[in-house]
Amino acid sequence: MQVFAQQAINALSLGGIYALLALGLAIVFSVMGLINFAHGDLMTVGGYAMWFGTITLGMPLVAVAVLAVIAAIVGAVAMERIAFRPVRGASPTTMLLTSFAVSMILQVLFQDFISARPVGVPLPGWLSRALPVFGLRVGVVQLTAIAVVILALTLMTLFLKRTVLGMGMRAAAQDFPVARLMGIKANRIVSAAFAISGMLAGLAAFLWVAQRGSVEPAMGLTPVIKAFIAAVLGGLGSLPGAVLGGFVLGIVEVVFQAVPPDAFLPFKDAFSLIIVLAILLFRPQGLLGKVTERA
Amino acid sequence: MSRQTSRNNPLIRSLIGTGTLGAPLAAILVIVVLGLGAVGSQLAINFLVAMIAVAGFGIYSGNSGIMTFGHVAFVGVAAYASGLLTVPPDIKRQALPNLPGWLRDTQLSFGAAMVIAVGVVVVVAVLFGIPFARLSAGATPISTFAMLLIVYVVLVGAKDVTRGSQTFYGLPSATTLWIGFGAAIVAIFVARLFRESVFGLRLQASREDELASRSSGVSVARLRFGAWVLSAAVVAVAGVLMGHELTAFSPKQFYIPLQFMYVAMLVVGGQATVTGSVVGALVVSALLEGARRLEGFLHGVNIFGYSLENVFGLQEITLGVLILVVMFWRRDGLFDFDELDDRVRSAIRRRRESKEPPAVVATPIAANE
Repeated sequence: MQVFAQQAINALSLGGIYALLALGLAIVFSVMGLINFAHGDLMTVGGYAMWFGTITLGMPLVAVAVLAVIAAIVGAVAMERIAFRPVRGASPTTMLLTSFAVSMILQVLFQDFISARPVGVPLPGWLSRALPVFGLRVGVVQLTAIAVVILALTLMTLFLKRTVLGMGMRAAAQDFPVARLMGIKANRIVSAAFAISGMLAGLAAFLWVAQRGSVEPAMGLTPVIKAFIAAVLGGLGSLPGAVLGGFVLGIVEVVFQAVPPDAFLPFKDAFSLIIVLAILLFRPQGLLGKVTERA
Repeated sequence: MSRQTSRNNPLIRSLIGTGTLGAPLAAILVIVVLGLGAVGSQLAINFLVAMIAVAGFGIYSGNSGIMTFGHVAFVGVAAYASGLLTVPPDIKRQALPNLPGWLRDTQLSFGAAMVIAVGVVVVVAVLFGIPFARLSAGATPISTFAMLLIVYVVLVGAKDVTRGSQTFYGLPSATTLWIGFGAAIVAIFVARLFRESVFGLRLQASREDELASRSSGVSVARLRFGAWVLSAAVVAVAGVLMGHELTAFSPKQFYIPLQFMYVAMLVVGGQATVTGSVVGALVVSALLEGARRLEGFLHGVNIFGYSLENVFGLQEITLGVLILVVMFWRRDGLFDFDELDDRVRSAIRRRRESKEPPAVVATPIAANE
């Protein structure tokens, strides 16, 4: 029982990070149809901001987190202006390839101008301690992750349901041309979508780096591929689906880390992705996706 | 009349198309090999292997219009499969002590190994293709990335069979320029024949308008599945050739950087045409070689007291910028719709029309019926 509860917390904190990333991807995808490959590099930008904040500026932890989020937001909005505005409205393949190229270029720039090797981000020692909670010992990092994820998702829900901009974004996600006819400004919506996805990527970067303590040029690649899979699993284009997909993937991964014998451990990523593909075999539109017949 | 039927016959069109592409290709290879010697023939083989892979990649992505990121996994599986079948048992005993006995003692010829390796890749492609065929066009690219990740993890993890992330070595160096060129011609022909065939045309219809083609009775999922498996088989040939050209490799050589190169080749040339695959592979290979030499040249150069010790990634930057340029200004690539032979044919027709009185212009239109 205790082991189960421990693993459940691990699954929640890992799944939460995937959920944040997948939600950011899904917001951009639903508004402009872009599968943003460079989303992971926003995470890397956030990670390097943390490195800069702790090493060069000597900032406290909370300030470092804020810095990471701001850096990722700025990165996301700049990315949209420079790279994605020229291809807005183009075919999904064109936009996907553009983001793929942006991601590759950014990774080389990180490599050449920062370091090809991982750089360490020293974080306060209490972050890696474990606290007793209801008779369990739970890592501070995991607790922070769960708290941050719950807070971020709650705020996102309120933003999307209660504010004009948020409602505009949901409208644009359903039907962009009609939303524009209702007086919603396209540039504002797209910029806001990128800013939000940047914010979520920055939070994910903070939680990811807090657990690992280092940043490298290709840091964002693996988590973002998994977040993509999570978004597809939840139903591409569905925002609640992305969050659900993230948590499901987190749970599947933790199960494959904990349950099978050690000999299978090198294959854990392969197993969890195969499970996801198997789910998609029976539900190709994703868990919460709808079958749409739009050309 | 008979001339017109032959012009619309897919087999004859494909043969003409292969010849139109093959002749200049052979000429370019001769120039490169004579001009650069041993380095040149190495470059030529590299280019041919990449071209075969891109032609195979285009069979799926070009006809269906769905970009994928998993084809490099097929290259890797084919290279390892062919390696396991051709490496001499003595080397295997040393390099892979835990290999099952029957596999350790197997040593096949290059040709037999290629057939089996392609078969192995086809099995892998079928297994992944079943869920992919059911997914929407938007979800497929991401899911193929998952496939790449799965295959990579398995190649690294299966240490007893692949030596994990360590170098797998001992393959006989069997890929000659002639074999490469022959395989390239076959790949061009297969890709072209699929494009001209009724299956290719239906798949292209689904690329242009999925809903309309479905309502006209095109079984999109089944066609995508078929094209996926065929494209995997062609890519597998490239994988076997690559394995026997490198003779030693590790899983990270069959991962995102190589896929990135193939994607750049495909989109620069033009996804929808076979000519595009060939031209894209040629252009990108040339640019990459240029970037590689520039990297070597810049190494250690001093600019304003800042020594350029490590100019990493000039090749990746070249690829990235190239893709962006194509996406911003020429989204469908250099050969967007017409193959080389189509362009030659319409150029000839235009010349004839400008010489003859306009009354003859009606002939080609009427003949098409």
